[in-house]
Amino acid sequence: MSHHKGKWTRRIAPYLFLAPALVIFIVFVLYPAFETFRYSLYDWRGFGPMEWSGFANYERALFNDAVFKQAFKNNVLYFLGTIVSEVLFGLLVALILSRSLPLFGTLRIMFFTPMVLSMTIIGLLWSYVYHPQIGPLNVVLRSAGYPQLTRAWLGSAQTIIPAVVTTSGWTYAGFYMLIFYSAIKGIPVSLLEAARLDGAAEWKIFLYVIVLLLRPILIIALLLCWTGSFQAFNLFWVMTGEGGGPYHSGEIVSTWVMKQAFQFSRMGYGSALAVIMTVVVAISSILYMLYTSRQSVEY
Amino acid sequence: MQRLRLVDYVLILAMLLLCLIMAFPMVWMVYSAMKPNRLIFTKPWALPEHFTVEPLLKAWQAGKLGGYFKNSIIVTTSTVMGILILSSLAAFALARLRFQGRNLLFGVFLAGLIIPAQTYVIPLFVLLRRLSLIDTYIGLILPYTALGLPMAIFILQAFLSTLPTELDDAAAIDGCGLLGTFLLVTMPISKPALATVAILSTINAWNEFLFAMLFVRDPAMRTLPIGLYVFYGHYDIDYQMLFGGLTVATIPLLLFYVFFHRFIIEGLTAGALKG
Repeated sequence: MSHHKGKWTRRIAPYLFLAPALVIFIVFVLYPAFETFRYSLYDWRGFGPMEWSGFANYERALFNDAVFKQAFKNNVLYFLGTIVSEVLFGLLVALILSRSLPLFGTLRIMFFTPMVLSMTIIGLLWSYVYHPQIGPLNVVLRSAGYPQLTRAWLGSAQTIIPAVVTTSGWTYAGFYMLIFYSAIKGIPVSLLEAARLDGAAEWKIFLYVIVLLLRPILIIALLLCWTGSFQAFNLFWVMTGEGGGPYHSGEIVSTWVMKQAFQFSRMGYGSALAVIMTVVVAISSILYMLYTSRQSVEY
Repeated sequence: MQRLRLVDYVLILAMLLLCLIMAFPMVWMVYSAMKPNRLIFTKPWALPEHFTVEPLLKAWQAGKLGGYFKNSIIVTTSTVMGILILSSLAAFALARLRFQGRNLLFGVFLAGLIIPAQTYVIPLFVLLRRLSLIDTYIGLILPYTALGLPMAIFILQAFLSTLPTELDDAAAIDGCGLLGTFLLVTMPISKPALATVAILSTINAWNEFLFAMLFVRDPAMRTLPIGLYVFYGHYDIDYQMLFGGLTVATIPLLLFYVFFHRFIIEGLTAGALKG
């Protein structure tokens, strides 16, 4: 390292490189994140004076808001659904597409395509796939001779979450397919060859690969599904008519937070809901990571 | 040439079929845009009588999509420039320089990877209103830049950490200051990682919905996702117009993917594998 520039410049130079990014990040992410907590202790309509209300917002959220409870439940249902429609489906496709067969390279790229589209386009398009009259889903059911199965998929409380879960799978399965695919490609061939030479059945090798070698990726995938469930907003907002659906059956926490804050002008209450959501997601994720890392030590 | 067994053919066919089924909603969207509403209702499956781009142009005009495209282009390009400049400077310091608090500062940015936007969007709105940045391009560009920085820094830091330290020493011997090393040595080598960051940031900024919905009230300032969403509200009955609008909005993204799929796949999966 050259010293002709002087020690002092050397010492502060790293901070000068970091400063622009840090300032933007603090002003537009970190500072507002702390403000959310402060807001949550006030009664505030977004203008006029803020009235201190202590933990009243939290009390109301935890004991007096049936929709919030419903929304949380829907987030959990959505999470459980996407484990199947995104992770397991993606894993299955990855196991097949990781074989070196003709066309599979192109198919992998095709499979990933929806990831590029905006959730707005995907949500609008799929609202029409589920459309009671013109939607391909009902048209198929009708022409296959099951007219009794047709319904307004996004208009009924029983099917609204599964419908969004399916669309979500259509979008993200390609993503999980690719991370599993690269993990499978990273498994040493010699290991599989050895198993085959030992006379292990092909399905046993498959199982071995899934359970043991892909375990770390599966652990991360489940975590992504969980945090992703609470980051979801756009798809639900577009597909369920601004996150409602009949009797809030399509309401999730994020849509309820936005409605409270920006449609009902309850900035303080909306902030309290956001804080609860963030704390629950953060703590559950940390516990999950600790639990899974201890498990793997036991091997 | 490897010899294919029967089971291989079955797998190839099954996967082809799966891909076709999954591609169908998009195919259906494109050809429905070319059918009059009457046919969309009576014969949902039937292909259009003739393929023309005329309905697409009509949807483009009726939806005022041109204005939304312009807004999206301005916001996205500025955001991507901002992210590239700020994140490369920061990643250079974090990966190549030694200083106190380095791990802590890196950790601060990484925390941004897991904070959902819903956590801070309410005070962010209030802040932008106080700064009179509602309904301005800057009011979207700055939050988008902040939103994209953690992932960009994460990708660039990982890339820069793999470069040998001799590189900086050689540059120093040649008389480069730190800024010179950064501009003349580090950045040119980092082109692949910068491309990944640029493409990832482009997709995210182009598709962003929540901030664009909350921070823009003036219809003339809307970006494409919000414009489309509102358009859908107005044309609830005119299906042909709707599919036309969706198709026009989808085509640029698909072309983008066709050209850059390697970088896109790399960028979008990069964050996940380092848990």
